[in-house]
Amino acid sequence: MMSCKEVAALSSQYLDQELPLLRRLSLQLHLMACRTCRGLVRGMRSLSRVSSVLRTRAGRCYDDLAAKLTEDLEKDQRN
Amino acid sequence: MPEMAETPEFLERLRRRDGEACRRMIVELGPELEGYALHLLGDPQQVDDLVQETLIAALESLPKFDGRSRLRTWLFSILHHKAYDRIRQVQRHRAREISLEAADPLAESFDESGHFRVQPEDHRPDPEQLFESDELRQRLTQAVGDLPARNREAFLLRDVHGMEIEDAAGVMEIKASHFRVLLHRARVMLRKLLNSERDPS
Repeated sequence: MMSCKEVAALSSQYLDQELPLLRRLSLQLHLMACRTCRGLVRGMRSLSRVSSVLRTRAGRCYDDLAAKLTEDLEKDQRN
Repeated sequence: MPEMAETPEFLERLRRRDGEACRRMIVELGPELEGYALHLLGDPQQVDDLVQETLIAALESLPKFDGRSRLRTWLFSILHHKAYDRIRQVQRHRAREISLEAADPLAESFDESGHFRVQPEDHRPDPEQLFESDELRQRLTQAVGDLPARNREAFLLRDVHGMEIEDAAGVMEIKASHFRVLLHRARVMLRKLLNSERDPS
């Protein structure tokens, strides 16, 4: 059976669905038997899920900057 | 926000630098570039300049955009280069070199047979169960800021901005295998940082 060390090393690839079938099954078998590794994988999955809160800064709008930059661009193109 | 449709017609209009197409690119992708810049640099004062420089460089280079990568990936690559110029400048002004990449955070956690020695501190309940969303954003921002620069960037590209691993590795100009190591260590470290923040004991 896979060791905790191997599971920890492969946990990100497991979450990113990048492990080949046999390794995935072997890792899942370990998870069924090991509470500690289950906690690690669950914690990392949850972290990935909540991370998108950082995607944008709240309440920002780019309409003004877009208008300014494209206006400059059009001026450039006319010259 | 719906993904911007990168149809061949739209990309062609961008290459001609059609005003309306350029405006749409900026309005739709600007906020995401800003989020990426903010957490990559950790300094809100530099963010507006960096995003603006990136967009101006993109507008200048649009006629050469070959469409081999997605528009969004291309813009992130431009921002990556500009951000690293700044990160390197900051490095030069420090008394000692700080590491851009983390060592294996779990290296000391296993016994000789490869089993966890003790229950690691990061094997506790999920962040989403523990924090209200404002608090989560704040704590996560702090923890992400504490990561070494390259681990931070790997985490931002993949987990925050949802980029495919090959694309994200392309933005950082590294191999996918190297990217996976950076990302994995970032995730393990973030779990630890979030837990230690919550429970100082």
